[in-house]
Amino acid sequence: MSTPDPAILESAHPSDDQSVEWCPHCGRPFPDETGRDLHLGDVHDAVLTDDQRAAYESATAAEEDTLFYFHIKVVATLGVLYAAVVLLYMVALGSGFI
Amino acid sequence: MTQVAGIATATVTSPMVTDGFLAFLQAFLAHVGGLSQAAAEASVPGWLTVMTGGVLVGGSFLFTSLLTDHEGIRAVNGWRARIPAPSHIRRIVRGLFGLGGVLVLGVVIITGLTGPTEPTRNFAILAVWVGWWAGYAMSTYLLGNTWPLLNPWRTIASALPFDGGRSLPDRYGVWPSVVGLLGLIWIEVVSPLAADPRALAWLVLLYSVVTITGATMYGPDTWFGQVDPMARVFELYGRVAPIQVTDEGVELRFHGTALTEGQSSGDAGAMAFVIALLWATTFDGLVTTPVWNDIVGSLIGGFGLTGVLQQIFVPSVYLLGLISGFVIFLGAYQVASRYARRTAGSYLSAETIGRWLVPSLLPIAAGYHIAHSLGYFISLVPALGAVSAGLVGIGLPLQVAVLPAWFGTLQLGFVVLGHLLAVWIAHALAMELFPGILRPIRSQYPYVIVMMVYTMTSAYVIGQPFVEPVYL
Repeated sequence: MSTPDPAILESAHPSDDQSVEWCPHCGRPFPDETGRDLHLGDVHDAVLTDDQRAAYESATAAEEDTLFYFHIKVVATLGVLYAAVVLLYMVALGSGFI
Repeated sequence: MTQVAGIATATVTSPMVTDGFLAFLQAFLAHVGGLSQAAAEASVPGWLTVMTGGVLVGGSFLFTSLLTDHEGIRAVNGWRARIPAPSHIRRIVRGLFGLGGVLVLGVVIITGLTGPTEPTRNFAILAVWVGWWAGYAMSTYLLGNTWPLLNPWRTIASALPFDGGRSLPDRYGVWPSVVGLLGLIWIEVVSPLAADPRALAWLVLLYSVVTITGATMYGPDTWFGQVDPMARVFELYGRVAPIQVTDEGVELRFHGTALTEGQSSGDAGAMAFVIALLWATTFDGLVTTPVWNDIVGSLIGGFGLTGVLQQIFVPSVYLLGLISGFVIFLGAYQVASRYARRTAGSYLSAETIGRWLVPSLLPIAAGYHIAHSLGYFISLVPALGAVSAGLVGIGLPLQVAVLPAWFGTLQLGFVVLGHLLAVWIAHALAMELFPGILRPIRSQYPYVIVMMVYTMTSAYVIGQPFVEPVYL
């Protein structure tokens, strides 16, 4: 699997007034600490310091919580979408339900 | 691309049409608009087909967002099995393919210039449109890209004693091939190439002269890597294929998974080429819709053009339409990339994000290509077989295969499959580019919206009744 290479990093441009967290290993900038910490674990897993690993783990845990609610919304949307499509087809094909 | 219409009409208007051919044409014309029939047969209203296309893309994105296991995604996409390919067998295969390609090119030019003018009896027409552009092109994404071996111009250019010392400026990247691709599509749509063997043979000759001259001046690697559009089309289609040739040997993988690797080294224009390829499939269908014909017709009427002026004006309108559509597609993709930067919360440039994710569009291009080509290929491949046998003195009856009614639905299925594969590949690519899980998913929002609009547009075009481009 490919990991982002230096050419990608060169194309990252935070402007001066933006907050930035740099990756200590590859120098890629991130707008927030969480993004940087997740990146550390994703890409530089083999060379993490203990602090960095702890930061990665807490970022992952925080993301899991958010992801849980996100997925509830996704499943609900999928359900509504499915029902709506079935209903529309029933109406459109005139199968006598409505 | 639909050559179907060209062949069919030309044969109908040809005075040499035999009774057998009329029967074939009736069966054949019934399948010309195979895709629109699929929508019509089920008596689903047009707006619902269009909406279903959009819902399918959006829904499959939502479903994919539930798959968040980095390692699992990598395992699926990284799976591969080595196919043994001893070097002496590879050498023999290379020799045979090279020889075969040059031989077929020669026969196409000769039969195009001297063979029967009736398109469905002419080897050049059948070999180029049925054998090569429909059948062979399908093999490049269904099996693997063999074009570097088969490419007759490459074989010839490599055999010539020129070292090709010139080089193209780096900033050109692969833009020459983007121009070449759009140019070829334009010529294909506005010219009688699909039905006129003489015109086709002259174009092939011209293409050969340009390509061989170019390849000897700039060297085959530069020419077929940066300038020649066909080599690039097949290279990109080949990356969708399950058989991949790498430095280590020949590998078998899942369809499309090779697209998740090696995309960061993009030349200038590499992204534009993929967009152009995708736009080409849409444009091909668009020019056979009543709406397009009405627009061209009203423009001609508005300017009061007749005769020669009209003959110059109409191809210009097609060219303008082709270029504007390409610019709109490219623009929409770039706007989506700019928004992706925001939704993903990333400092990567929009250009980088767009370039990283663009390979995910290739399965869609392949899906539309197979939807356009498979029925056409199956119908006419017996005719190609008979005409080829005729070249070596074996007389076979000229036949065409008649496709079953459900074939149109199958074609729609390929379009859907292409889209589903694209969503999966984009998901995997985003997971590699952005940290964590939510950021990659959020990066897809703008693209999903753009792709829903694209799919709905395509579904609308496909659902339109097929009309001949009348003003050409």
